[in-house]
Amino acid sequence: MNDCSILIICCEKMKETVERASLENSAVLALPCLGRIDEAVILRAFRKGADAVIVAGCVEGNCKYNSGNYQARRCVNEVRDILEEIGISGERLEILNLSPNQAVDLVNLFENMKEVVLRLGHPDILGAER
Amino acid sequence: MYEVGIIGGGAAGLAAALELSRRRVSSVVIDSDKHIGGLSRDLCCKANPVCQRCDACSPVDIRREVRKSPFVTLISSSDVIDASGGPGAYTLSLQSSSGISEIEVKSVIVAIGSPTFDAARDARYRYSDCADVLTSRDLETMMISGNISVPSTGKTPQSLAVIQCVGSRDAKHGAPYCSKVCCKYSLKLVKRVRKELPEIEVTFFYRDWRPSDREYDKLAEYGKEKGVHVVRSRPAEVIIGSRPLVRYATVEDEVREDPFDIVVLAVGLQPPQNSQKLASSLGMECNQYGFFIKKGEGAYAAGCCTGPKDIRESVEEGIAAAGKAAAFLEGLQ
Amino acid sequence: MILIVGGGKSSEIAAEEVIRQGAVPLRLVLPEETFSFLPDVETVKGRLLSFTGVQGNFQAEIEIDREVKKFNVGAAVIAVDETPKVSDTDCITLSSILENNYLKCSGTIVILLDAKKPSRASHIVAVEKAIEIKDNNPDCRIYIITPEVRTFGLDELEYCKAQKKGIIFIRAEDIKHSSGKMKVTDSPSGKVLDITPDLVITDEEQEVKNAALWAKAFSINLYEDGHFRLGNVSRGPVTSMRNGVFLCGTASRALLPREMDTSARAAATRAVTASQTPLMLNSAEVDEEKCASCMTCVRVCLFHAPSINEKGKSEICRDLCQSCGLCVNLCPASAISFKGVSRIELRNAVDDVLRCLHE
Repeated sequence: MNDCSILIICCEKMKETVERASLENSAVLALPCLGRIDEAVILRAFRKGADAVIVAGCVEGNCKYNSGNYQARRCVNEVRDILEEIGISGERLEILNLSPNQAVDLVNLFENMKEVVLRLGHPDILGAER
Repeated sequence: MYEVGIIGGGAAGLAAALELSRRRVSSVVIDSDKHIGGLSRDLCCKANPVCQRCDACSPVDIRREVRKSPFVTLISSSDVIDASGGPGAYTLSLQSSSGISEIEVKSVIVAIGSPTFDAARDARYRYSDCADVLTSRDLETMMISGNISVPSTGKTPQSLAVIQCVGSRDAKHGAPYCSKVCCKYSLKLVKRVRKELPEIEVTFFYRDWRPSDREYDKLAEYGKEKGVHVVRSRPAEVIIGSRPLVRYATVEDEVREDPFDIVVLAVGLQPPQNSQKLASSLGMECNQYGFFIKKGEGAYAAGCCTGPKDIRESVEEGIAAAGKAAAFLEGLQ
Repeated sequence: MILIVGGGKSSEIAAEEVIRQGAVPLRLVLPEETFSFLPDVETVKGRLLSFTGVQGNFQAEIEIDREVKKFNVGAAVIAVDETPKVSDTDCITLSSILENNYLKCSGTIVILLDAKKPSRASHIVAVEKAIEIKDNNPDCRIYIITPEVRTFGLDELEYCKAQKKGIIFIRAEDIKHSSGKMKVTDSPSGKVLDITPDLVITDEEQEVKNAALWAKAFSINLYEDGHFRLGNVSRGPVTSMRNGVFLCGTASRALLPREMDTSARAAATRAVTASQTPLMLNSAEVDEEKCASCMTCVRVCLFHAPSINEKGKSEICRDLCQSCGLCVNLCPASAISFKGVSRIELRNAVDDVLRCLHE
């Protein structure tokens, strides 16, 4: 399986850092702030054929709007529970507190995620579009 | 023709360029390095995991904004070899690999920064002969690539010593002043290392605890944590062995030699090189160490080239210099 | 016009810099506050009742002599400084020797620097003063007793100079002082020293007065220790969490005189720039039909933007909203929406990026 697709959701501030890491088989969705992320966005991504989702927010305490990254973490934990419930491994969803000068953290996480996807294969979602 | 010429593309220079671009004043940033960003470019994030306000990401943020701005021109790999003229009409001569060129500007902001102390100059600490003796900047580079290992063996370090005041408060090596930033910087770095490697034993050799903010008892507090030893001593030397040995006198006047996997030297900030020449050609002044003194109109200095300071203060000084330059340009019209 | 708050040194520097950059400062101090007179700066004594609007176009309501006046302000600089706490003991403090002339003192002088919340500059002030006294009267013995000598940066040179001149520094944490006698334990060696001082000078605890008052008026927050909360690093230096309101002075951060100068000038520069560049942000909007008045949005917003209006429904203040989207997300009734990032638009965005990836 070599057609894995990973969606990276980040905030406007991180967009450049994420794009510069130029990760293969990845798509980037930039929101104004991760405070806006909700369960529906992540679940929609899986439904639309993403094999895994990485949420890349600011370091805790450095969100321009103060609490966007905490909100994103809460949301990710919630979605992970939902995924487990419907039989999809929670490993496919990860959140990262990224600093713009440390893109290596993202690259490492991305490589790990790729391995997870290769191990697990495509998620088994009824009606997923791929 | 640009309105303002900014010499040096570090935190202060870029902050000045960004502030000027917000006022719609065109500027040119000249940096001698291939990549702009200066000293703060290769610093790692010190969050553990909450932001510690180390400001390492703020130059990155500023650089991103500057790149987008139509008012800022960036020239890299070029040295300013000469400057002439006076307030309102300066000529900067640049040397790059393609030859010598001249740029005319109305105002100049000098933000050439300051190099860190070359640890090899202090022979006692064996920086040049022992692979496991690192400067704090070497450790930063390791952290930024996400791989902390003992250079000689490649293994994960079990113990680490930090020696403060290397090339600061040291009249013998031409730096009798305190570098101001190393205390807070080293503590944040150590905390980050301990977040990455929770098992590591850290020994912190210091002389006086001089934090940047109201963190006067932070070090004593941290010293109580398991695996952290805080020692008030200036180690005499590092002895090369299978592991580097740090020889130091304890407060009880007892001489000890302790082995560590990695010895980190917290290097201080040095005055910029050849600052006197640049200052005199721009009608500015330097103090006896070569740090710029703020004086006069038309040419301004900002950042570490006016004295040791942290990123935040450098950025503030860059913004303030930009404001002064903008006011000066308005006065010309 | 730039509103500058505070009566201390920082506000003077900020006002000077605002004038230099061609803008008009308006300095506001509290009625009970003392301040230094500046010839070119309009200084009013009053209370800030409200501060509304956006960067570039704020409206400040100030109560001056029981009369409410309105000002249009481009940006604000909070340049409040810490002030020495009035101590109940009759010790001579560092700031009082700055004012009065103690240069002629003789005998044994002890400068005791052990305040829990000192000013960042207290050590260098003590060292400089000690040198001055010693120069005037070389026969006197001066001890500086402190747990830690904090002479930052180039101030270190003064410390070295003081040592050369014979001023004795003792690092001590355990200090007993009673009836003119002093018992000091030198902390490195553990040796106990007995000193009989003729004069004891202490550094004073610092406090921030009225910070809560200003914070409330400006809708910004405080740290637990009563200092102004700085904007997060990603917002840049001298910022607060509100756009167009800038922070400098020792009430936000411990500063040396030189650092204070830099930060006041930087804040003034940022404020002048901000007043020239009005900000229009996309604001979240409430569908009153759906709003259940649950107060979730009011509680979660750091910028104090949502409030409950007279109809009992949530209303989001356009001026304070920073368009982060937190309330949109957390609203249990899905009553809050956001132009550009509504649920449908977000869904389409996800669909688009993944379609691109799969093609």
